[in-house]
Amino acid sequence: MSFLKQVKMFLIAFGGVGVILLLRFLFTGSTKISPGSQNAIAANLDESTFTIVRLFLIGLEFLWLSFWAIFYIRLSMKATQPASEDTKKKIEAFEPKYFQLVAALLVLLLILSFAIPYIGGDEVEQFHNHTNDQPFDKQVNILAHQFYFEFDVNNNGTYVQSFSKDNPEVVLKTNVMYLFSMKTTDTTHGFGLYSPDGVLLGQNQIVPGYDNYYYFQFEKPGIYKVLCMEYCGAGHQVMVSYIQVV
Amino acid sequence: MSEKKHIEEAKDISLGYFITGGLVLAIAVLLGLLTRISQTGMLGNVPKLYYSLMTLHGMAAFVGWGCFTSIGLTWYVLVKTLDSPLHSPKLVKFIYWLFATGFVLLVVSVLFGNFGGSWVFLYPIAFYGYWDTWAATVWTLGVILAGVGIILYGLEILLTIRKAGYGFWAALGFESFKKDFDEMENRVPLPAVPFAVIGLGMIVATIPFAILLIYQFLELIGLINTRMDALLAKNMLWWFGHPVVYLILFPVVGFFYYVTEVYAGMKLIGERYAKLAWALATIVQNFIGAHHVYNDMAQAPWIHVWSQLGTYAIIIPSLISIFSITATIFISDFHWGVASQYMFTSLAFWLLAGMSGWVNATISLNIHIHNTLWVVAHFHVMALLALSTMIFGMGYHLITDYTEGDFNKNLASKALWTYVIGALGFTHFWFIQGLWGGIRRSYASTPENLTLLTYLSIPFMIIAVIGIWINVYVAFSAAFGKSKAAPAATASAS
Ligand code: HEM
Ligand SMILES: [Cu+2]
Ligand SMILES: [Cu+2]
Repeated sequence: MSFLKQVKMFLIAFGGVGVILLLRFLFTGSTKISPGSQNAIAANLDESTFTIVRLFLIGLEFLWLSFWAIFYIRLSMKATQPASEDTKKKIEAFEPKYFQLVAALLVLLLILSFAIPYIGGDEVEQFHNHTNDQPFDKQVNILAHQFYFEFDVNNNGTYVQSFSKDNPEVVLKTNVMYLFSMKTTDTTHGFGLYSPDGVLLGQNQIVPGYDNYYYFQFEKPGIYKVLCMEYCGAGHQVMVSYIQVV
Repeated sequence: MSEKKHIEEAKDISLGYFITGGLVLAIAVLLGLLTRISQTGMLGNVPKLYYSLMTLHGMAAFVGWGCFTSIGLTWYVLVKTLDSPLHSPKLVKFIYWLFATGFVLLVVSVLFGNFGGSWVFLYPIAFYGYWDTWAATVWTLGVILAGVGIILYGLEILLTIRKAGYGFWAALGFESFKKDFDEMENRVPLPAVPFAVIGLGMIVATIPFAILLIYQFLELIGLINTRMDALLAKNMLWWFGHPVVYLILFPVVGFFYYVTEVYAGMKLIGERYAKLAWALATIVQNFIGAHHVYNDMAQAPWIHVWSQLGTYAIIIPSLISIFSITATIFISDFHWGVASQYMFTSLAFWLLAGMSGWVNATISLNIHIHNTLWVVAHFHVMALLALSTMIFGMGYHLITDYTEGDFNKNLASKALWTYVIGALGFTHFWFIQGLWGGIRRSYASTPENLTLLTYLSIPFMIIAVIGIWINVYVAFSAAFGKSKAAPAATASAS
């Protein structure tokens, strides 16, 4: 039998069985679950500096796109006849310059990228500590489980969960440098910290078997949200806690 | 026109792979649509369904479709561009059946065993899920088979290029360093170079990952009782997980080169710089996967910095290739057909996807968008608008060759618009949700006050799915349709 015939037979068999399997799965394969606590996940938009950055990114992207659309139309109109020898020569001569341009652009972006933390302010910079050897004022221990966080605010082994959005059990202070020391008891989780106006301030992975450190100093009072940022199983979406900052 | 026997064979093989990939994609995008629909609550409170669908969608769309199409079309392009037979057509068919078996195992694991560890199934989640251990075992086995197939793919490319009489380093682009490059007679054809680079890259990338998979497999069946270091496992995953993206990207650049040369009727300009860029890619491609681990403070900082530098460097081959292709189209007597229309769309969106990628690649910005829907938007623009358009373009070129132009070109070109409208539409809702902190892989639609966007994206997804189905239909009817016997008959007559 030729290869194409074999492929055809396989596809017919696989396609048929696949559709039956899929239907079976959709109707019976999944049992409903409702893990520990069903906290609403809310993020309020607010006029923050990040909004400007976001709008800038989206605007830039659309501009870029329009540029290409116009270029495309022009090119397809032009491309039906070959360019003159002269144009060909010019374009070929441009190539080395283009190469240098690309290299220069990348170096520029690179410098910019390493400068961003300093432009962005302290809140951003603090996430780039990999160890716990930086100075801090208070240590907060965090345990991540499927599917909730626990906080030991006073570093004395008493853990609370802090599910309530209106009245969080975890209360921290502004202008105190906190060291969050985080561990997981099962699979990998993530620690994502959202400001009261819904900006994702930063995040850290909580890797099994490691102490994962995270430094943070709150600048504004309000209710901050902690969200699991790494897929950890069926209840991933309910892994939410709140921190009140006074 | 006398078609050589090895070309005929490569055509058949590539077509077989390509239409299998088409079917896989058709199913996969349907699963993607269902994934999103399940998030609206229309199907009830079904988080497990969402996570399992997402897992199978990701693996099928990305690895399943990628393996069958980008790998599949490689054979044809390689044989044509080198004008020399495959090293071993038997091995190439064997690789197909490895993928096919692996893929069936993945489907069974999810649809029967409810596996739902996400397509990266970050170690050790396989042991902490809502699925049965057997499902995780079957899943792991399926991925192992695909991994073996990928390693063999790399080997077969390198051996085929050697069989055609070209040197190893030359094929990787290093001949661009030679002083007398412009006068050299027997230069490697440029379209073959990306394949050589990815061939080597995949061998280097897959071996550590295969070790991780085998370890996980042995743990699942109870032969090993110690957990592996989770950070090491994560690095092994991404050591492979990033280059596997290039398993689609680099061949696609090869298709670009090949198709451009055919439709422009001339060799690409800027060959030397392009090869220089590929030599760079050869070195860098295997050392940047750690950019997926930027938020792991347990990782040594120098790895972060290094992987950002490497990621910036890998942009160069893209930018150089875009120049060569665009300039070649511009100065030549370019022939616009279905294949070249798809190709040009791909080219334009390649840049868009690249731009959003810059944000991901930059450590200081990454902490704001990692694991948000921004990333999902980024790679869907890449996958749908830049990669699958070009893969269909290449497929249409092959089909044109196979059916001697006798297929539904009109329908194929119309379907292109569904790509642009559908995919551009639904990815933009993700871009916005992601920038406003909405996280990926979460059954809950976040941020909550933008839930409306989840609903709005669905019509666009449906348009995109329809577009893909039309393409797959056109491809299927061309491959298995009425005109099927004709080209073979012409070939044997000549
Ligand atoms: C019409 C086409 C498509 C639709 C409607 C679609 C939809 C989706 C949805 C809803 C998700 C889940 C996102 C989340 O909540 O985190 C997703 C994830 C994903 N998609 Fe697609 N998609 C499409 C095409 C593709 C294509 C062509 C590819 C790849 C080549 C692809 C690769 C992926 C991957 C790798 C994931 C991540 C899965 C994971 O996180 O485990 N998708 N897609
Ligand atoms: Cu989680
Ligand atoms: Cu990557």
